[in-house]
Amino acid sequence: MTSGSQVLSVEMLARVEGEGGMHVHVQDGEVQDVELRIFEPPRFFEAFLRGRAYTEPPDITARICGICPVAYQMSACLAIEDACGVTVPEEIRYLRRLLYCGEWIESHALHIFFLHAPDLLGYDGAIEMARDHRELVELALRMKRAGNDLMTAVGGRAVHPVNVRIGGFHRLPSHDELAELRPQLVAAREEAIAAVAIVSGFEFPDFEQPYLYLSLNSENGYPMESGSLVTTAGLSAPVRDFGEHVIERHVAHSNALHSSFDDQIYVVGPLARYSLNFPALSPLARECAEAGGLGPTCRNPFQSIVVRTVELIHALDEAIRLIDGWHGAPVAAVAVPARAGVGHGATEAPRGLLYHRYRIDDEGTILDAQIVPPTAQNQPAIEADLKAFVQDNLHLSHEELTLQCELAIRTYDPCISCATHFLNLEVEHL
Amino acid sequence: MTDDAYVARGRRALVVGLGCIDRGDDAIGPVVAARVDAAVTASGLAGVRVIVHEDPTALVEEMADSEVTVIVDAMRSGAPAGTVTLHEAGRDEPALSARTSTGPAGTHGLGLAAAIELARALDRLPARVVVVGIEAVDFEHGHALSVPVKDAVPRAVEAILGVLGAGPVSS
Repeated sequence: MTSGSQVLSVEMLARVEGEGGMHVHVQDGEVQDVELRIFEPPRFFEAFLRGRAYTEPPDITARICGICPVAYQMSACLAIEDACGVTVPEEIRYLRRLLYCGEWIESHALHIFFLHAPDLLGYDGAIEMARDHRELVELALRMKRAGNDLMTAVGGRAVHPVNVRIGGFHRLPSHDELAELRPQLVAAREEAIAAVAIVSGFEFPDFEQPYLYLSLNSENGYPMESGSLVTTAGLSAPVRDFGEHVIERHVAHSNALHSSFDDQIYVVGPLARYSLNFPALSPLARECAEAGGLGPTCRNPFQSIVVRTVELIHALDEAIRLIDGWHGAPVAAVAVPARAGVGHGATEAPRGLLYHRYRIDDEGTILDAQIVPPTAQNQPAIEADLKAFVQDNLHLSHEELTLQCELAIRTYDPCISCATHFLNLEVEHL
Repeated sequence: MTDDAYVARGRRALVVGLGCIDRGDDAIGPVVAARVDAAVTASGLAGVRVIVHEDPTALVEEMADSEVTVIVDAMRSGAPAGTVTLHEAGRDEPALSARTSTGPAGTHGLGLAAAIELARALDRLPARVVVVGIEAVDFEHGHALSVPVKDAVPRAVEAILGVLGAGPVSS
């Protein structure tokens, strides 16, 4: 360390799963570098997929994340079907959208009420918040249950759905099975509407991101299970052009690849989706957005909790609409014969655009795979945000600055290491 | 207490294997749960539900209907690899956070101890909760169970079957 320099290092970010860490280097009062160290599972899965059958990616990639398996399944299906030149019937796309609603409901409810709200209410976490705001936690659990039950009805089970396959589903749910879920979803929608007043009442730091926003845009409504690429720079392109714009590069401090879009830092996720697709929200969701103080765009990441709540309302609204309109399908799945080719697929995971690309041979063996998750795309923006944020808040104590940085990181809902859980045990010997 | 006595009392028990099958020793929870499931099925023991999960947050609701919940998970405490430890964490036990860290929960959810404590705060914690921890060493993607952790499987299964057969009497 040179004279006048200061290093702030947070080896294990609280409530960030796995092995995340943050390093900030300050020289003479100026922030020089911010490095967020994250460790991503998709790299392993890309290698694991090589040599496997083209029918396997939906099941294998669902294991990347225990919270958003549907996103991985949907992007994998689209990419393989694209490689094989197959477009699924409208009823299959319709059911995929319904399944995706379940994942959005569960994931957003969890993030809004268990992870982000405690930050904004000044609690260490959901446990501490539950003591004073039990109704918020109970509400989140009811919403999570609504999402879970929807995923179970359509996907076969809530964790790693087993009913999804290339070309469609193994089994179609009946209208009655789905209709049973309606009262629960309607109740959850009412509670989500009421929650807008709560989350929009939080105090948010005055902070705006200047970055390019990237999301899907879909003729089928607010983007979830399909669409084409759009950016705030006015670009509109098919998903197969993703690789022409997005460059992934290795950085020394993290095993996650950093992405840039046409050499720019960019952001995917709720803020990008919302700002690029506001007119496609349901009328109720738009009304709630306005009631929550949002305009047609939002560039303050701290307000992402309000945007997520609006998206939660949209997902509940959309699920009810889809259930009401479900009249079955002629077939549960269409044949997807293997052929040599390259396929691209992108869908909107709860935390942002998730891209898959596969190259397969004429027997359906996967020759190579590329998976670009939302976190890798957002990491440069998170680091840039932190650099500006730390610079503006160097007067804070180490503890307070660490807390504020954690809060800033969590607004992105990064998937740092999705699936490792172990108890860090400290035994006290008396 | 024998299994028969356990069943006679009509207790509802839940066994949860927590972890990811793709990450080395993190698979120990699902592996042990599968063995317990087979043993329970073979013995005809009624009233026991065995599930596998990666997300501890789900336990808040999953545990609510059981009288006894056993959670088996990889653990890091500094003990020799493969050490099997049982921790009582039920309704009348001290809060876990007093004895352990709450573990690294995610931006996606809660860690195991946090999930247990949230269930306690919401009055949803079963009378008896036993966390069966197996000391792990390797969490690399694509790795198999390490040898000492694999060797611990029979001991963990035996410990869990013991809990299922010897839980406290419900009033």
